[in-house]
Parts: sequence; C-alpha cells; structure tokens
Amino acid sequence: MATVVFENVTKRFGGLRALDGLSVTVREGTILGLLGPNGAGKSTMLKLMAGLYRPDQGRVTIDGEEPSPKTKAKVAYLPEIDYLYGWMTVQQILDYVSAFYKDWDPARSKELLDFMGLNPTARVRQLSKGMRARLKIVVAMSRSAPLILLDEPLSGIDPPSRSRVLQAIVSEFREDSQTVVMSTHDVVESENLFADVLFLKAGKVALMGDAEQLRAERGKSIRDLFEEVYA
Amino acid sequence: MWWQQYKKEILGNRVELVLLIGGYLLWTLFLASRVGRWDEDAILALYFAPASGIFPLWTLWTSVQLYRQEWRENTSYLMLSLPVRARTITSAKLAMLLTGVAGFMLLFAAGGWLLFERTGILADMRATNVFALVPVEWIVKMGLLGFGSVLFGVLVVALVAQVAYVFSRMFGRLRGLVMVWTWVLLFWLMARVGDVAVRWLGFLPELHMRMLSVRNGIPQFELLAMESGPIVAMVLFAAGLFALLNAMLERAVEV
Repeated sequence: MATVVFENVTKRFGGLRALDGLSVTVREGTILGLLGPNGAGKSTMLKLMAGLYRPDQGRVTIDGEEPSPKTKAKVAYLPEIDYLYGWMTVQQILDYVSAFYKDWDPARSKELLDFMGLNPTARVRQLSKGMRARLKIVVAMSRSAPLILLDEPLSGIDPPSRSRVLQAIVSEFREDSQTVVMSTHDVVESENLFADVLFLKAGKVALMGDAEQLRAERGKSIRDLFEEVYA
Repeated sequence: MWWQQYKKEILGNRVELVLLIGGYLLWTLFLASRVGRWDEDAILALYFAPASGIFPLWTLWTSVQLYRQEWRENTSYLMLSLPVRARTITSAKLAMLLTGVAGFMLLFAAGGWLLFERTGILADMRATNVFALVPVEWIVKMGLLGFGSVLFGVLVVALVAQVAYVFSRMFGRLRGLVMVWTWVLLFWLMARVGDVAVRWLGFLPELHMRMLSVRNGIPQFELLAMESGPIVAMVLFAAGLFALLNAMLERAVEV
C-alpha cells in the first residue's frame, strides 16, 4: 500500500491557481473519490502524484518520497486523455507496458482483456472511444500497483463500457495492498465505489471524509452533498 | 526495458524508414539504369546531391519528431510516467536515430559502389593498380573512421535539436521561438567549445593519421598530425548535452 501526502501544495498555470495550498493525506487501502467540477484541480492532483507535474510550492510524497522513477514503479496511472500509441496493437501495448513493471500480472491482464471484450490484434487507433477506455483500464489494473490513479475513467464513454470499467475497478481492487484515487465529476454511477471522498473547489479542499460517515452525519447521499458543495 | 523502448522507437518510425530506404533504393536503381544513356558525371552528381540534402534534413527532423510526436499525441503521459531513468528513454531514441543513419550510410555506400562499378570508375582504378598499392587494412580503417565520424556528428546535431525541443516544452508560449534560439545558442556554444579546446587542451597528445595522396599517378602516404583537444572537447560537449537532456526530462519538463 502507499501513503500519499500533499503538504501545502500550490500549482499555478499562468495566473490560475489549479491547487492552492492543498494539504491532504490519502488513507491507505481505500478507494478515494476525487470529486469536483471541471477546473477544480482533480487532474492536477493526480498528475502531481504520477510525477507528471511538479508543485510550485509545497511537497507531494508517496511513502515519504517525492515522485521519482522509484515512486513511479508503485503507481498505475490512467489519464483522462488517450495516451497509448495509436499505431500499436492492443497486444503490443500490453507487451510494451508490461516490460517496465515487475508487478505486472499476465494472468490478470489476460482475464481483463477477455472481460473487456478487446481484440488483441486490433490497432489502438481503430478502437472506438469506449474500447480505448476499456484498454486503459486493462493497462492500469493488470498490475498489483500499490497506488492506482484513475483520472475520469468514465468520461465520455458509452453505458456498457462504463459498466464494464466500474466492474473491473471493483473486482480488481485489493483492499489489503492497494489504494485507489479516482477523479470524477459524475458522482451518480461511482458513488458506491468510494470509501472516502474529497470535494475539491478552486484548488482547495471543500469537504473530505469517510463516505459512509458523511452520509450518516449529513443525512445526504454523496450526490446530494456534491450539489450542495458546488451550488 | 531498454530493448522494449528501442523496439518501440524503431517500430514507431518504421513507415518513415521504409519510405526513405525504399525511395533511395529506387533512385539508385534508376540511376544505375541510366548508365550509358546519361553523362556519368551527371549520374554521380544526382546520386550524391540528394544524400547531402536529405540526410541532414532527415536527421534534424527525426531528432525533433521523436519527442514532438510524444507531446502531440499525448503519449508523453505514458513516456514520463514510466518507472525508468530518463537516460533509458533518451538513449533508446538516439539509438533509433543512429540505427537509421547507419542503415542509410550502408545503403549509400552500396549504391555508390554499384554506380562506380557500372560507370567503369572502379575498373579504371583497378587498371592503375591503385588497389594493389593501397593496403585493404588502410581502406577499412579509413572507412570505419569516416563511418564513426558521421555517426558522432549526427549524435551531436541530434542532441542539440532534442535539447532545444525539450527545453522549449518548459515554456507555455512562444515555444517555436525558444527552440530556434536555443538551437542557435547551442551551435554557437559548440563553436566556442572548439575554440577554447584548442587553447586549453593543447597539452593533449596529437593524433596521427596516414593519409593517401596520388602524385603523378603514384599513390603515396603522408603522416597527418591532428590536435586531439577539439575532439575531446566535442565528446565532453555531447556528454554534457546528454546529461542536460536527461535532467530536463527527469526534473523539469511536464506533460
């Protein structure tokens, strides 16, 4: 499992503060829902954890270390955009990525490939958007990575694909050894997935806590809380 | 890991490589078919001229494209999230480029031999007995030296182009301008390094090479002395660029 700590982190893009003095600790062994509308800072948080962005101020650590090749070995990152080589076939993608990770599980990869209904010989650029989203999930979940970062894995894909992606996340998550951070602005479908939730607003924490506890304390679903926070 | 990265670079550029090699093969065969119909000098000029233009342009273009493509197609997300030191990625990209250049040079040499043979130039040289007087060992040595020098030159130019491109990725705006100016600055710096090396590394021993010259139809060898300082300085300059490229990818550049 991996402990992720944000200490007073600020990330700016020109005049815009995507994250503004953010201090957060991600609980180990949970699925954390990173919630907020577009521009709230969700993707920025995930990219900082993946080592694709660097903070302007403050510090991000994974198991006490700032992002480096060593921490990247612990992270399975799924970005919102298509980031896989379009000219490769599905199998070539899996062969390529698996070569870099010791925790790659070929049996799990095969199972996920079948479950997602992906043709190993199909070229990535010829896949539909939904199929490409499924492939990204296969790439991220075929590993026993201690930290899994999913950036809007349901964004813009068809209902059957959404359902498959959610099922894969639930079935492949290992509470005893993994932490999942998943960003979304669509709470309805994923609400039941989250053990913890973090509502981001203009780069700051608007609300954070145990999902069950928040529901009990506030007498509202996460979806209703989402509407309340961003009203 | 390195091998996978290298394989990815080769496969990712296979269409371009096949087109370039196929195009050059066709051009060579076409020129070979013109022997006896066209003027020999024109055939040789048409053989050598495109190589001197296409070859440096391809090197520069591909050097930048190897990185530009990663950002253009968002695969930089994958590239930068891999758990490897930047040198695994940068060296695989450079190796791909050098593989292409080496292949192209071998093809160029084979095509040149074919044309020299068909135009009768090699037959004329055999008639003058030049091959009997010049040791094969020397020809091989000079060939390898030329081959190595071109590869090293390509490596330095590629590093300059890649450092300039990756550096430009650290800016939100005017990236093209930043890249061009970095490029100019690095080439200026390279020239300065050469000048300074002549003065500061003058204590290094000279390199001696046997050069062939033909006087009155008789081939003879002359010993040529070269300063090793500028060569050492260029190697250090290339190593510095490589370290800078790795440092930028690992510590500064973002997706």
